[in-house]
Amino acid sequence: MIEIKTLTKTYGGGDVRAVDGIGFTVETGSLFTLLGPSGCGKTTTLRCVAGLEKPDSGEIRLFGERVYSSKSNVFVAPSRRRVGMVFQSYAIWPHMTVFQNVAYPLKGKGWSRKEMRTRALDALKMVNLDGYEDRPAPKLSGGQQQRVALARAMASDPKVFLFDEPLSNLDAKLREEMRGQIRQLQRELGITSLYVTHDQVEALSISDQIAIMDGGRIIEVGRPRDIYLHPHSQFAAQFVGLTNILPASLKGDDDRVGLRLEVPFGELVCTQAETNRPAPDSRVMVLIRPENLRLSIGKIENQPNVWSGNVISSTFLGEFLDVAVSCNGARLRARISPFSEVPDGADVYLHVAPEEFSVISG
Amino acid sequence: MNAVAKFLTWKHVILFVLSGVVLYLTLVPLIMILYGTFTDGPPGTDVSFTLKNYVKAYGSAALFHSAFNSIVFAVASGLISFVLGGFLAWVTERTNTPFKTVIYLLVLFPFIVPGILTTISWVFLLSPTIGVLNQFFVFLFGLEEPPFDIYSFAGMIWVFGIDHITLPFLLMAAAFRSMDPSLEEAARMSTMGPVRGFYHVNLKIMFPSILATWLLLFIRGIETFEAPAVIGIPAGIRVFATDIFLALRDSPTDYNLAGTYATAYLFVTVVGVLLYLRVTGIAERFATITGKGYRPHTIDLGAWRYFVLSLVLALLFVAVVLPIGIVLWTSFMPFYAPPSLKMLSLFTWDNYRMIFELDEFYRALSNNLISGGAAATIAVMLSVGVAWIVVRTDIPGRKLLDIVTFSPIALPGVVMSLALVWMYLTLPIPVYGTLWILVIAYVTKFIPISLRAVHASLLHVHKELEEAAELSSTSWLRNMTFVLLPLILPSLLIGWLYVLTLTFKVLSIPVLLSHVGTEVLPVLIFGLYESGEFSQLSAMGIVLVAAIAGISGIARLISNRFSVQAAA
Repeated sequence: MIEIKTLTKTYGGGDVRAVDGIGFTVETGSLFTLLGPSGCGKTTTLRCVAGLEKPDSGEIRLFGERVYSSKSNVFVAPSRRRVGMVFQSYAIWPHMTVFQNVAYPLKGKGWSRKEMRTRALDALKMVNLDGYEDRPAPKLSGGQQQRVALARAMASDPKVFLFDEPLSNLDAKLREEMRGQIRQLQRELGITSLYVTHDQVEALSISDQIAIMDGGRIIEVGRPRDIYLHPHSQFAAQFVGLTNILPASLKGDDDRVGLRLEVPFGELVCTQAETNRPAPDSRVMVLIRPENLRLSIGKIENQPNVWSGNVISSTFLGEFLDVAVSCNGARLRARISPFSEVPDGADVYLHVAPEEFSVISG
Repeated sequence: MNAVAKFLTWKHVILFVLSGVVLYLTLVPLIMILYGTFTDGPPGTDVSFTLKNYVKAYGSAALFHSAFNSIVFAVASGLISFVLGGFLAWVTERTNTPFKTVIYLLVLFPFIVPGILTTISWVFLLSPTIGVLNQFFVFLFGLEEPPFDIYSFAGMIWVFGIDHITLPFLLMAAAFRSMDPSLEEAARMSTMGPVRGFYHVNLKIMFPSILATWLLLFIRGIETFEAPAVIGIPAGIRVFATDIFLALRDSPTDYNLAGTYATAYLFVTVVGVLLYLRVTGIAERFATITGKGYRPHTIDLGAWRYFVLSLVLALLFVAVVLPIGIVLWTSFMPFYAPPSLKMLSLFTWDNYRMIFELDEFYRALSNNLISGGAAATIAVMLSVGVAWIVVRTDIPGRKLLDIVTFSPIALPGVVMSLALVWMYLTLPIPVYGTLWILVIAYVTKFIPISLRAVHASLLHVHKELEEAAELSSTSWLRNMTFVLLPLILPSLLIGWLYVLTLTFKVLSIPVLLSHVGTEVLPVLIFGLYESGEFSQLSAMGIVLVAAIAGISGIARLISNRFSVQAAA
């Protein structure tokens, strides 16, 4: 378990607040991701947990043990924290063989030569690099080097895994493959992990929990599903995926009908049970993902949440057709089947299912 | 873990000791010499404070005369080096002149020849009595008198200038190479004519590099000892370096006055170095030097390229082949005589045989290897500590440590030797008269050079490589030994070899610090010159050049191998 309380780290004599009093808990055995744009403080937070940066204030506990505390002046050296870290640049030592890289963290920790060898080889086997131990490390491909880094991080039996954008130097195909491998290994070993990335797809696919960060603060924390489907903030909604954001006012909240909302082009009904429930008559925002909007040339009968608009433009993107539609002055984006074709300027009807969008307080 | 143990880790002890040694080496001698200028007795005696040294030194015309000579010498010889070196750089980088490899090798050659040997070779060439070229021209044109006199201000300037074309060549070649051709193309697209385009774009962009190169030459010129000693002293032309040298040779030696001269000398070099640092700072801002390898347009000289080639080869023949050629010739002669077919029958290996039977030669060689090797080792070790502190830590004062370690670059060899003499005659540390004082001097003088090499290589080691080690092992020493040092080992070796070759070349330091029994090779050559043993001197010079060439070759091999590995 990783517990972080009111962690603050500033640079330049306090001018830049890289991490601004954040706190969160990573449950034992889970993978927790810090997701945010560059400069949001996610990497600094990770480095504070590793002990590579010394925070200004706050507290960090790993499995109950205080490794940093400003109050009682505790700072445990990185190598004594029992963390395994995978770096963005892999940080494979180029003058060593694969085996030497993996075995190095085992030195001086009371293991016999034979134990060290077995442990290192086991770690290499776990990442499917058995047989590669005598290769010079720089001769491996990027993906293989990343797996050596992974083996090195787990060889010395760490309590915590730290990942600093480990996949950002790999090409798209390999990234997807490695993502799956990391997730599988982490599950098998049950190691509590903190993962940093700016890639939302990576975060959604790999995490148990995601914390969205911006400007040194945590904006919100949640399961990938909740972060994507029911964000609590505009920032989270916009950072993860594309969203149509519409200003609205709440007209009624009724257990039978659901939330009744007034948007610029008419009225919407929301029956999504897990969405936020703002106070009546308050200003709210309606968030509709483009893929949940349905488009039709003919009128859609007997359905709520139908309104008309006309097509501004459409772009073919392979996986889908991206259509911009104007509805009473509001601009909406919809993603529909790539087999559809809609001419520019066409009059269309838009529809969203009452349970397929969410509402946040404005 | 208690509080004391936490702060007194090996890491802190080692870094603290290394910085302490660097500060001691660089600052204490200067403080001692400054202290000496305000006292009235030789070092190590009871003294009282006085200003009379300053009154005497700065009140005499001699000081200002030397200052004037030093500056004129440095500016004029720098101009020769710059024009010739810059021209050669332009030819190899920006034209299609053939045989560039030959040009390169010849231009680089002076780097491995000690200044004392080149200076003596020009005496062989241009002395009014024995100079080969003088005799040749007298014979050829039936002149009444020899046309050249090396023993003149012009002679001194010529010798230093022609010997220093390598530095401006390398710096200007780098400047030409790193210029983005799109800047020139942009100028060509505009309405400027080619001449105005060259002036407004090339010259203005290159101006900081030009100024930096020229300032470096100026500092070298102010500092140099060989030409002023071998040529200036007999010609009666005094500069700062020879002033101090002669003041220390006088007996009784007035150390206080010599030290006061040194303050003026130091002032000039410090101003030069400060300007240089400022200009190179500006040069970085111009940022024409990026990591990108540009392929600038080369100018097609057409048939003219053979004319340019012959011009270049003629220049290099005079600058490089003639000086080393005459030394080589003399090394095979029983006595000094201008080359001729008749003399060729006297060809002999005796000089080489003789020096290899000479005890003094072996002693000087082993002194050189021991003191140079020790100095190179210490300088590289200190550089690793300083560079690591500067690059990898946020310890307060690290910038200052960097500057202090770099500061000996402004310290001329004779001034530093004087300061060290002063220091070790005062302090109860018995190194005066031993090889150790040479080691100390070499370390101090060359640490800026090894520091730059180590600093650059540390910057190339990705920070995460060290952080991964920091997470792996608690022992800082183990991480340094097994992770960092092996990564920068090739650069350390190259730095080590480079410092070693410098100790084989420099005369201005051992000339004041060597004593009977602690001579090094440049001092031995200087001594042989003063006693007129030209043939032996030449043979020894050739052996020395061969040794330096060998060491440089090894360094080259290491750097080639390493860069190939890094690219793979």
